[in-house]
Amino acid sequence: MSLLEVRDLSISFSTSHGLFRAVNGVNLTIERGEIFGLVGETGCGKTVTGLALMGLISSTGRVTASRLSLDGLNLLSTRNWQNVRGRRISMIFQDPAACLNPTFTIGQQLSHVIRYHFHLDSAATHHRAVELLNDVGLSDAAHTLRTYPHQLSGGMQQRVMIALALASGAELLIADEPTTALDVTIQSQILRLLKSLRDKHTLTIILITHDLGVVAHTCDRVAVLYAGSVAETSSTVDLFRNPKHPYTQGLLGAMPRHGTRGKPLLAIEGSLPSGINPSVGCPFAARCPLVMKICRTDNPTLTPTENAHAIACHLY
Amino acid sequence: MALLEVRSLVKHYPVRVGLFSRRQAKAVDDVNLTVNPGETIGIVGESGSGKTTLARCILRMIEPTSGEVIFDGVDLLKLGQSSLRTKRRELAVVYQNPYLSLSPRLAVRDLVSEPLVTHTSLRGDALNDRVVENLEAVGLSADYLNKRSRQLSGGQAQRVAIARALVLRPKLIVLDEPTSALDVSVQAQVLNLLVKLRTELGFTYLFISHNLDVVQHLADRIAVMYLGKVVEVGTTDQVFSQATHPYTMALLAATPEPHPDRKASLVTVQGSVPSLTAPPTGCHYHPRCQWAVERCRHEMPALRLDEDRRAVRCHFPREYFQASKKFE
Repeated sequence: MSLLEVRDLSISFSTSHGLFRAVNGVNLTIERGEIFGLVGETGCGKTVTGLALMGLISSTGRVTASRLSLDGLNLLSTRNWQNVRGRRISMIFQDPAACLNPTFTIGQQLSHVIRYHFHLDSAATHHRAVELLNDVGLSDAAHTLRTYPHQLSGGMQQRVMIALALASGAELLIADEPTTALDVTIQSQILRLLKSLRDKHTLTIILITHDLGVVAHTCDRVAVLYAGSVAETSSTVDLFRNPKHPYTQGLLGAMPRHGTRGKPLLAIEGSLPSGINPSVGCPFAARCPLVMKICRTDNPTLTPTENAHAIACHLY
Repeated sequence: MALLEVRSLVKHYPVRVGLFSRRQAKAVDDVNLTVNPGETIGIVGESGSGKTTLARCILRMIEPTSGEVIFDGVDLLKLGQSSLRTKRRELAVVYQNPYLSLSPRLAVRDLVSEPLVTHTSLRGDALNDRVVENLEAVGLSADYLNKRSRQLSGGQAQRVAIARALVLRPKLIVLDEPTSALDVSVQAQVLNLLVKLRTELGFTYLFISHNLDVVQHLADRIAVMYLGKVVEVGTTDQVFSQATHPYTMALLAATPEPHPDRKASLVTVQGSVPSLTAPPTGCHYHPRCQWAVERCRHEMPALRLDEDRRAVRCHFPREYFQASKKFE
């Protein structure tokens, strides 16, 4: 059985301008032990999807789905999120400095989480904290426990965030742009850490990112989101070798890389449609270079093709 | 003759450590750089490498501690306020975040006409025509004249910032991470625009970015900075296909390419960028370098120019290069 199953997930927010549809009918299946990439540009709904899985959508938001199940547990009927949040699913964010409490040491913050989830005495808590810091690659754990967040570099802060996320024994980690605020050399260290945690601790990871380069190096499978819907989903290798959706092709063509110098990049003209009063038809129709008549009237559904590759496009 | 020549530029900031002692943070430390007319120089480095400080010193938005910035034959650092003001019309800058660099109170018309009003005698219809002409050059129409920055998307706002920079036809445009706040699809639009403007109007760019892929798309030559020092300079092809400094090699290896087949590189970097107030002895990069030897711990390598006119600040550049080839 898959670890996480999401069917027809929709999230909307009531605003003073009307109902804002952030996510429209997203389907995801996450297998145990994989790193699943959720990739898209600003406003595509990747972060709200992550927040919805954590039960963190604020009261102005409305979450609907036909199925939202974690290992058989129905998250839709969950009243007691405390038993899921942290305990089963953890989440880390883009800016670790903003997530750590500046007034407590790393040791205090870490033992707080450990004690909340496991009833351990202080010696065992300390032992577990050291173990966690070693797991995330902070070798001088005894020293790190006594430091405050501002004394650590960005990369070390993100490692601490990962330790905090794992402290509860969660089986699913949602990493929301975990390396976007970090330098490339530190980014590659953190991505390597996430991969090794998956291998050693059989952790399942949903990696939310805007960077297709990060996806290529880290994820096993990937879903490309556009305007709150899945445009294309497949294995990572298949997506890069054989991108089918015009939006995915556009994103890949828009990336400058070695060899593109002097050549124009494939820019996707126009910008994201508004989530308020979205037009009928395919959300990408207005920017699509291959747009057809049917695209403006009918919204394509995500249709599976060979190799577990699925595309929401009338071309296929 | 070079358009811009930076000689031994130094910018030190006093930093308080503890109650009584002070140290110097060497944000830019002995940087030499030459930019020829029509050329695009890319400056690459991680946060804290001093790339933005260098740009600000060149524009004299901050006063460097020492050194020379020869622009078009004149040392900008020796100019008085009024002659600096006249000279400044030949220099322009575009920043990372257009919503912060453009005044939220001014309409696009005023944002783009401001440099013209300051430096020329254009007024009235002639001024308006010039503004529209420049908006069209960046792909915006006259419909945008009365909008304010908050009514624009990120890509549109950055186009306005570019129009404002090019309206006086400066000789040098400093681009400080101009696409880092934008989504890839919009970034591609802005990069294409910058290439088009360079071809049509013959601009010289000083392009600063932490993203090697973005820099190589525009730059003819690349300077890599680490902890306030230039560690490698070469043509874009030299830097990309035969990097000689271990840091450049590590940066290239760490940049994730959108391609799943690329083998994991054997060049790795440990640790993070050290503090500017207490830089490591010897070569600044040695604590993170996988090939560091005793000499690197004691002796700062000089920036050596090799036969291909590329410069590298490393004791054993060739050897590393050969070693890495062997690994592949």
